[in-house]
Amino acid sequence: MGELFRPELIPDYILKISKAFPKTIEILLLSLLFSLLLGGIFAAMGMSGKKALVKISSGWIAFMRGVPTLILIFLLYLGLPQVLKRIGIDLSGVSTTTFIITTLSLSASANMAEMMRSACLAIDKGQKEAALSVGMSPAVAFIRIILPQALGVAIPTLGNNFIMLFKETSLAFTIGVMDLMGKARAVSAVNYGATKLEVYVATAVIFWVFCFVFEKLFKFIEKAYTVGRKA
Amino acid sequence: MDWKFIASALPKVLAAIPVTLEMALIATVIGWILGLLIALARKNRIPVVSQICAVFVSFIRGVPMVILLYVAYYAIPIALTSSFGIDTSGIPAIAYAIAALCLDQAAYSSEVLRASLDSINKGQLEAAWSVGMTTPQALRRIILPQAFAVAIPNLTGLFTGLLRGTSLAYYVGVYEITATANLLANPKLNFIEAYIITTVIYEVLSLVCNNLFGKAEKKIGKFRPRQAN
Amino acid sequence: MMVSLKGIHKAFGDNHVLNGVDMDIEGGEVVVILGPSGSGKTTLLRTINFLDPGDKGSVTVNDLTVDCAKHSKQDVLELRRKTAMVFQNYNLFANKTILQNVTEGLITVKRYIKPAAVEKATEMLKKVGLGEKLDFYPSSLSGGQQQRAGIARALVLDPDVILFDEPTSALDPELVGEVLDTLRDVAKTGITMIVVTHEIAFAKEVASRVVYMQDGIVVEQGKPEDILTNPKDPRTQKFLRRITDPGVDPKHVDMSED
Repeated sequence: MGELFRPELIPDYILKISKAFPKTIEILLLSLLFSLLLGGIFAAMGMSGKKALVKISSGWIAFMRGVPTLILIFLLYLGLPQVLKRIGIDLSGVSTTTFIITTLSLSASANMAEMMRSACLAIDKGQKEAALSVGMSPAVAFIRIILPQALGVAIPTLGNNFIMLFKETSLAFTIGVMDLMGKARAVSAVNYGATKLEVYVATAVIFWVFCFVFEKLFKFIEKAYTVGRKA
Repeated sequence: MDWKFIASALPKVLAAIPVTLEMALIATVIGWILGLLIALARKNRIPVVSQICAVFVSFIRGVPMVILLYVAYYAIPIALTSSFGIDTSGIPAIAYAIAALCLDQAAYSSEVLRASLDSINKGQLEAAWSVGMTTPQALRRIILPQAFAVAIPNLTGLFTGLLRGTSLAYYVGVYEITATANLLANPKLNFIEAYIITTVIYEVLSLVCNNLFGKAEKKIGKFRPRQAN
Repeated sequence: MMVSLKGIHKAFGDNHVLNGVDMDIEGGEVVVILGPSGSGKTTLLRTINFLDPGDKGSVTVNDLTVDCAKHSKQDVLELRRKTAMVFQNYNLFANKTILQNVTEGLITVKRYIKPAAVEKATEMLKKVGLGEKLDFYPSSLSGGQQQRAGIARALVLDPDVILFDEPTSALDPELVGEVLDTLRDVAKTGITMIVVTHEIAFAKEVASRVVYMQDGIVVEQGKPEDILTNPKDPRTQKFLRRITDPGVDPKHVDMSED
């Protein structure tokens, strides 16, 4: 084939592709926010003790863990508008970014719900009983006693989920969003795909560096948050 | 809902299941063996090898699957051609996809296995030595079976993640489940039908796999005390 | 000579645990090693089968002498095949049944065929009173039962010497008796035993020799009636006074303020 790898091109590609970083961050942070909200709802259902709600919660988690994110993207972006059109709702004005954020929020909500549930379960039952015994209402006990402790337990998992979500944003290109990966493909298309490997290596390096930074960041947060709390 | 489309497309999408499973199974077997070797190298702090492994694991864990697939797809042929003069035109795309999935599984499983090896009491190895076993014997008969039992729940998660990951092989031209569904949906825009079929197939596959792993966990872990929840 | 230790030194970092231990043990002897916490008695036991290799000195078991400072893997393996060990925390193979725990060494090390191994192991387990528990996993047995299985696992290999590392220290008090009974039976078989323990009464009854260690050296040794009732060295006298004090936990006699 006579193709050669030209690593000297990579630094320039890294700079060019990084310009799309704000888009990736936008998708990441909004997906994080909505997946946490959604995850919170499903976690609460899972811990409600009501049989039907628990079933719905565990069914949602199992469903989301079984379906590839790519399929979910296609289902929402290509399939959903077709269905809604028939009942008179037009989604053609909705941006691709919104579709990606919606998909990632749905898919990440499963892991977020699991994370919250196991963090709450990790807190000793005596904590709640002690809070109630001094006269706190269940809601106050949750907010003042359980939640702060559960947060400490959840931080490492949150870090993992955050990094996973960050990596999943790379699927935004599949419906034409100009995130890091979308930008990479655009850069590659400029020279008719002759330097695809260099472009993808450059993108890989960008992701790697940010994953590394995020990992360190969450380690720091964990340390700062749990200082003096952990035995 | 276009039932005619579903009736004609379903058998064709089902027929692509073996391609998906082939990728997942080969990547699991090779990837987990590599993962075990990485875990042992890092646990025993073998100089140089252990550092290289640490960088490898960090890289694979930091790069999205789809980019990994692209890099493997474009890098391996160049590497094979320029270093060994091999003609790569006959190598099917699935081989590159499997290579990428293998590396992914190697990195993630090495982390799982390292943690589970750490959880095995050192006394187990000492007891094996005390009856005169060699270290490889002790590993094979005592340490690894115990570590594997500890690791199975996390390995199950890895495998279902891998199953989902195989859908991305579509982007390097592998005609697995997702690609087949896409191909069938495009001419008449039967997207909703095609992706519902695909979703159901993936859900069933992951259900079956979870079940099998659950059975394996019970069997392999039968020596462990019942854990209180 | 069955076991011979010459000038064993061992340090963990700056902590000098063994400071030149010599010991010669004849075949069939039951040697009980006593000493306060941190005296180096457990470490000494672990240098014999190289779980913790000594820094200096040599270990001889039967006809094999291994230098602590420079030893090949093969030497260590052979040494371990001449010895067996009973651990404080039993260390039964968690993934093997009680029967498999005992057959494991026979099959992998002694190259027994499986039926012969099962027969020999079953017989041994019956001797220690576990004939009913063959197919149980360790996690479902009491500490005393686990330790008796540990003794059977060591005994079945017909080693030249069995090393007992505080075999009753991890047990609940009501389970100590059954394990000591088993140890008495083992002693009657004439096998060479080195036992680190805090059970003074057991030492008095079963030992052919008592060794008192402190600060990584052998302070005094001799017949149990001499050492235990009429010790010459003031350190031994002090230790024995302290260990028989009802207010002191015999497992953790602290002599560090001396």
